[in-house]
Amino acid sequence: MSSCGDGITCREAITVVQEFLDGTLEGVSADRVRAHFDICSRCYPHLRFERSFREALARASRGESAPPELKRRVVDLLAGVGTDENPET
Amino acid sequence: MTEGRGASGVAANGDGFAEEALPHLDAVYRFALRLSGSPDQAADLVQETFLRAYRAWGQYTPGTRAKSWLFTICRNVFLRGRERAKRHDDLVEKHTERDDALPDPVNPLWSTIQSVSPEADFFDSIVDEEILRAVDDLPEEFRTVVLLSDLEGLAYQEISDLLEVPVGTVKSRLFRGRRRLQEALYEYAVEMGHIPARASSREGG
Repeated sequence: MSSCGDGITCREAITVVQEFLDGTLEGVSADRVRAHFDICSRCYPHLRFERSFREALARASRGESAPPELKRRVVDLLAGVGTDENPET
Repeated sequence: MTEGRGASGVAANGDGFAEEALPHLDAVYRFALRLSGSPDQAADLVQETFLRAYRAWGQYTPGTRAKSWLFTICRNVFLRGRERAKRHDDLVEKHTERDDALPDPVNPLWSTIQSVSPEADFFDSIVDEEILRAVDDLPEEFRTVVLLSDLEGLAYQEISDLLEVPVGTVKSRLFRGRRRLQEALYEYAVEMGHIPARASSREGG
């Protein structure tokens, strides 16, 4: 029993879970993959697992920002220079 | 918006720079922090990146992603800084034959976690600092793609352009990097008692 419903198989769904979440599916439509995850109680938790991993990473990243004095320093720095046609390499 | 640009395509006065580039300062700082591992060095990298970006603003194509352009500059500045201290050979990312190979599509960790803690969204129990530390601990080739993709939201193609490696390599490193990161976070969750250890049959452990 490898298929739930009339769409793609569990194996196929799990194989493309990364691409599905990344929005980079090739050869299969996101709707078909989504349809599988929507109805398959075995695969859905896997999708949820990968999704919560992504969310945790994004959340951890958003919590960090540059120190305010660095922002001020950068703005001050830029106020003192001009743009250059041949930037130093 | 492009009126200030002369025939050479160079912005005479950095038109649009504040609007397009400065909002990414936090993202560039985070990127620099993950690259260098040091807040002081990250601050220097950010200043240098914005200085260079501002001077070269005329080379930026409006409408493209300023964020990945800034990341490119930041990474180049970082790598050049390291070149002074180390041999260039150490820095050039090694292209190994396994580079484009994707890992087993079925995540083995997933099965483990299912068996010990089926209902838990266990990543939610892990504090941000620990997640970032685990990212920092990834080998460079994985760390960079994971942070560009999953922490900063760049597309495969943007990462491919930035790192000058094929899209397939980006994808493979990303998938494998995520697995490593999940493993590390799982180990941490077990250590902290958030989830029980895997019911493995390790002998004499």
